[in-house]
Amino acid sequence: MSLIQQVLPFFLIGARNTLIYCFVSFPLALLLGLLLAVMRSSRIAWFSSPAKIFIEVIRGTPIIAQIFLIYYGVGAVLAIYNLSTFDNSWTAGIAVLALNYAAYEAEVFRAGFLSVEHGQTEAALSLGMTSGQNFFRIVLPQAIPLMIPPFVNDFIYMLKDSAVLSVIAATELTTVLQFFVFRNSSNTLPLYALAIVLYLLMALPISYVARWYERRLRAAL
Amino acid sequence: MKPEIDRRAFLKRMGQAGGLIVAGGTFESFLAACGGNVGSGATTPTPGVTPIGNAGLKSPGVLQWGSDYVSGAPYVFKDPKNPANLIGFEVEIMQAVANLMGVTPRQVETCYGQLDQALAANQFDFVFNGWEITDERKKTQLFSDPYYVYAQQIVVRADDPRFTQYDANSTLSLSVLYGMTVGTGDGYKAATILQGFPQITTKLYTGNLPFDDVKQKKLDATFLDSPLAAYYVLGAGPGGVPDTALKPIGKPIYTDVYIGGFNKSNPNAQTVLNELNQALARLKKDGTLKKIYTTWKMWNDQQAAIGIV
Repeated sequence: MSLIQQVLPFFLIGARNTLIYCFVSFPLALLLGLLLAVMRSSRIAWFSSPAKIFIEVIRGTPIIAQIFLIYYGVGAVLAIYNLSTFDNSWTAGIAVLALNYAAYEAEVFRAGFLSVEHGQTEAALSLGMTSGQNFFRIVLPQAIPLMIPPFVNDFIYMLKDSAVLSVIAATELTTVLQFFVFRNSSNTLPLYALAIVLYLLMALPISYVARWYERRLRAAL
Repeated sequence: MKPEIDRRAFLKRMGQAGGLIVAGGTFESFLAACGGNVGSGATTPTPGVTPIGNAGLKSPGVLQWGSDYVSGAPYVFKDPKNPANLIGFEVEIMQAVANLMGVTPRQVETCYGQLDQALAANQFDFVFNGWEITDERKKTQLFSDPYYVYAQQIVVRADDPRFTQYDANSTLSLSVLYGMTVGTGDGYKAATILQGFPQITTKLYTGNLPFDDVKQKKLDATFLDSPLAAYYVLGAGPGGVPDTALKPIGKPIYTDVYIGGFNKSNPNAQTVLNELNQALARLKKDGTLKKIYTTWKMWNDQQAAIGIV
């Protein structure tokens, strides 16, 4: 118990940093994902092709390779202009998580839009709505409740994926866990248990809030 | 007709049996690869030399040692010319030990951060990966005799004006890094040392060495085991390439030794430990260890302190 008491403040700092990474990265991933989804749905190849390539490249490569590319590759370019300190474990970590998850969220958005019957769009347009009004007033409100479960799923995945950032010395929960596991190698189980409990405490409320919000939205429709 | 059918059936059965034998051999290699184990081929004791015992091994006839070849140079790493091969000074030591014991050496790949736990779970006979004695490890592990004397090295950017007056022969302490950000590997001895200096901001990396971070000015310096600095910065040893953007400063400090680590609760640990110690003692005396360290440009006079001649 004394070990838990001793390490808890450090674990809480790690958990806080994990939450900061995710709460900053995920909205960015949603924004970029929406943009990619709209681009990909476009009939103009100049818009749809770059979005398709980006999504396929990101989904087809491991996140750790993307981390090294952003942290060291972009860092090397910035170093020429003496700006590499801006490419640190915070900025690179947030950028990688946002870019990586944007590719997945784009597909969630696309699936959500496709799930709204095309007849609704035809009806909206025949009533004299513009395509923008149709998107924001007809398609989006019906698509969002369908997209919430996969978004929540992905957010929880992001909570756990942020652990990979330890390779660039990001001080998130798993990095703190590893730090203490090294120093308490004869008694590691309480440390692993504490980390699992903290991850659960972060993930469960998000699931519950998302379910409640989804129910509200569905009821309003 | 019947003899014809019998001959066909006979050939078919022979083909199936042959296929099974080939598949069995391949499957063994496949299993070894899946387990992250890399065998180096069976060895035979050198004629005229009294073999050292090999009782107590986890798998009879196979000397299994845990280490991490990722960022593992010059200890254990994939040969850049042929990534199917593992090279490194510890690989050569293990090969020499296995030769004396008349067994096959097999590296069991384990993330450096998980070596303590893997040892506790008896996934190999012992850890042999730049391992050090710590108070925490003393609670659960036994240690072999030392096989290398090493120290900690400060590495900075070669063009950093703050360190122009220093070179590898300067007498320095960690006070030269006060107020700076210094990176090292998590779990390294250097991490424990830096922890005792609140004047220094320490960044710990997992499974990654921070040399590029120093070059890109994300860190002011790195502080790590001298063999790492010698290989990655000075290009010492086979396949090493000098990195002129970096330079070691100060004579190595915080001298310590590398040892093999054994699981105290493994009933066979003491037996294998004694055998490893006998083998190391012989390699120290017959010049094998010196030859290996000379090849890897790691030889220095400090090694005499642990009996290497």
